Amino acid sequence: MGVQENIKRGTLELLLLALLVDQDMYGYQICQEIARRSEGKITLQEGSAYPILYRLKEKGMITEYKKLAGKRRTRVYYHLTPEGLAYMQALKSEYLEIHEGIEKILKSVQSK
Amino acid sequence: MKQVKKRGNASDQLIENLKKATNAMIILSLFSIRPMNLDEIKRYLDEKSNSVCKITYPYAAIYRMLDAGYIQSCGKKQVANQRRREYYKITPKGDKHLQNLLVSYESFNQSVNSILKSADLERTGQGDFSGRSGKY
Repeated sequence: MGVQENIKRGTLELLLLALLVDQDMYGYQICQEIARRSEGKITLQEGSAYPILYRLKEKGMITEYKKLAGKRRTRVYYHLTPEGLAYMQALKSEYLEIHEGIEKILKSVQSK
Repeated sequence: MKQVKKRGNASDQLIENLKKATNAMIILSLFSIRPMNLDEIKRYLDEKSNSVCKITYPYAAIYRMLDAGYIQSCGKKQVANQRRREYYKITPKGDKHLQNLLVSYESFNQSVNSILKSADLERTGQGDFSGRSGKY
């Protein structure tokens, strides 16, 4: 597995939660937003998003509700809970801290 | 790589996957400076990253890189206490692999940051958490 795949596995929870900070979204919308905001560099299939969303729901980080889209179709929206926001911030801090540590190492290597 | 500043179980998966993703890149980058032994690698990472990145058991990663031809042994040297340490150096194949890893890492990190940043910006624009849009 490549470097991107492993980082992706590690950061998907963080990215999904980060997207829900500003608005509630449905599954397909989340996948589209990840691709759009990463300019296509990070892609997530809907089928891969749902296990993560279910896990986050079980942990109480998000809740879901149904909303009518059109006349008959309903969409399941996901909503970030206060616990989810705190969890997202912890993950984000951790990610940034690790990245900073890696950057320090790489910079010190470049200066040699 | 083991990150020592853990915050409970919240980020275990994040750490584990980042560890898998960046281990080879970090170790190869150190070997690109000069041949090193494993103790030097561990010490260097600990010092330069302020203990954020710490490899406690680098042997598995080293053996994988040896098998892949990214590094090669360049002999044993005697260090303090009469102990002999094996030194490794990066190969041209390893150097090429390192450049690819660095590009991948940088590219992915930029994408993650742009998603995190856009979330931050939109949140700032909407005030505090209770003011978010959507149901509830």
